[in-house]
Amino acid sequence: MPAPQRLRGIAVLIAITVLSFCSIKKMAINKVANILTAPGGGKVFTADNDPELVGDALPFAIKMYESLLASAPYHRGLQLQTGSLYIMYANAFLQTPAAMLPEREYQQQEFLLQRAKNLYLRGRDMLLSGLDRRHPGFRKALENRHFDQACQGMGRDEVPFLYWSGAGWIAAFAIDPFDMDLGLSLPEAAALMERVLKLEPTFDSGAIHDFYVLYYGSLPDYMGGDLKKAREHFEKAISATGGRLTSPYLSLATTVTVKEQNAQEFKELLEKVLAIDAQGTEDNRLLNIINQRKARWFLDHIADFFVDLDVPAEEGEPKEKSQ
Amino acid sequence: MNHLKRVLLTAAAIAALFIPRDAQVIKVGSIAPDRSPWNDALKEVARQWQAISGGTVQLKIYPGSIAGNEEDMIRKMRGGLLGGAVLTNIGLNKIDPDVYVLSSPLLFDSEAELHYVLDRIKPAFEKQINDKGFTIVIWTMSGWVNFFTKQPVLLPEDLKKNRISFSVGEPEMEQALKKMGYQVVPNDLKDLMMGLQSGMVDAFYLPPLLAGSGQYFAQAPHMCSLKVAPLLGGLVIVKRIWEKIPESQRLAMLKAVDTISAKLDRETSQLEKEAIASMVKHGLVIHNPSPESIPHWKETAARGMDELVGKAYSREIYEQVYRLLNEFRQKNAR
Repeated sequence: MPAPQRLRGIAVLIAITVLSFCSIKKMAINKVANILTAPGGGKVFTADNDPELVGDALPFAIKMYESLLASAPYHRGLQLQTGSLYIMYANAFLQTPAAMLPEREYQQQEFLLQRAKNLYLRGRDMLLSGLDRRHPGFRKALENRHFDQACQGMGRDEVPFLYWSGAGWIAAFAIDPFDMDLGLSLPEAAALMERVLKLEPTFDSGAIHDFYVLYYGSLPDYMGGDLKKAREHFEKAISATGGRLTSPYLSLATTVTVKEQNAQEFKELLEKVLAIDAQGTEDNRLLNIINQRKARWFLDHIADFFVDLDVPAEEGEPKEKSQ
Repeated sequence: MNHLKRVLLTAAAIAALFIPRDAQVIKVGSIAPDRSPWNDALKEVARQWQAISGGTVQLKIYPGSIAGNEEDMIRKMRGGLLGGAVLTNIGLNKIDPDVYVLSSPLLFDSEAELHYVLDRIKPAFEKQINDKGFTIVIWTMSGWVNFFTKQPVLLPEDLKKNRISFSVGEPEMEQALKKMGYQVVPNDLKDLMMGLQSGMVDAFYLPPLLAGSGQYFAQAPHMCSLKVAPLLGGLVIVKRIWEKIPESQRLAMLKAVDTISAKLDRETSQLEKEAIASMVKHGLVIHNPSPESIPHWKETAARGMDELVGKAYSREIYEQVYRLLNEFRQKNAR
């Protein structure tokens, strides 16, 4: 074989090898990604009964998903898993413990909350970018507040992306309500949640109704808060879960009953949270266990939320009645 | 078992050494939402007062109107359910109507004028508030109120074409605005968005922070840069509770709140700038009335003062404020 022909042959061989390697690598990544994101795979975390174990394991798992996503950016399951886990982690393992810290640890509390805001937005951006890849022009239309155009062509298969990105977005705003740029983008997040409600109102055991309990129950009325609407969504959430999930009771207790200053209903709802058999509900075991911890904390700190109740002084009983 | 009992009793005795024996918890209601600069400042006050008093003064804060609106909070303070409250000028006006003089439209031309007057008139207000059974321990400045409209406004005549949404519960100010020639529609803040969308109103006046956070500017995207009135407020404590605190501690506590208050003023001023910048990015247009039009704005505002002076607040306080304003203007005209 003449030299130039031999060289061409070698080049072709190298190209085939490289392409095959790339293709094998891509296939392998996709295979691993498929296994990791297969339906039911998330149960490894959500069905666990040890929140500390999950809290310690999640950062590594999220970064692993993220590195796989860098190699397979179009993998839908990886986009969803990585983005939503960032948001779940921020909520369960940063914001929740921060809210339960005593006032004297305010610096640590602020540190955790700022981390949570950052990770909420990171997760949101991953999910929005997944939607934008499949629906080019989505983000631009959303920014321009052409909500129908943004969500055009989206079916029920996009509901988890819409839900988690909207939830992460609004949760970040709740941490920093005076971040004006974030606040002014709130209608975009609200539009995503409205689309979830329209496409699949029973999504994830009525998670969208639970979201609306918090949304209408927490916002000031001049920003769209509406206690009546919050209660309506509570009824729908209870009906979707058959009363076996702790979240709707906790959401109503910590928003609406506090605004209405109804300490009796607050206690009753939190007692319902504690009465649910957390170990018996496999799909939501972790969530129920974390919610029961929150419920105990709220009951222990009830006087922080109801003006009529007597407040004990820190580190001892006051001699006088508080006023 | 006895050993365990002894250990527990010793531990309890040691713990008791750190318990302030005469600790009093002061419940403070606030309309400022949690995680707002105002609530953060209040938490800082709570921490510093606790440190100054060696733990004997503990503030328990109820943010975000948990304790009700300003009138509710004043009633709860009078009834002994709350020991203090963070109020705006609307709430302070319910305790001492004279404070409302500071909300008179277009009275002040600048922050410097406001501070000059406020620094000199504060003792009079504080005495009057004290006579009503309250002590004001911090005055806060939460920015200025501006007009937001659907169409550009540069002159009073432009504004007169608009139906202005106006908070219910300020009848004298409502009458004053009408006398100035403006169309006023009493409307609750929670109904403002619907009012703007339905066309029931086409203008409102609010601080930029609220115009942005409530997204109202999207419906009325023209802001007149004229500063209508300052938005003042303060932390009020029931007098008999405040006076139970030893005087030496009270002085240190007031010093601490002065520093916190100065920091809060800087933060809210910065936030207001950020709010305006963000709204401009989202379509707000700012209109600057010409210097020649300012006297015309003031003449128009003066036509309504009869409805306020001697009705919403005393003539005496108005004259005092006016004298101080002239004093400042003369000093600075030189």
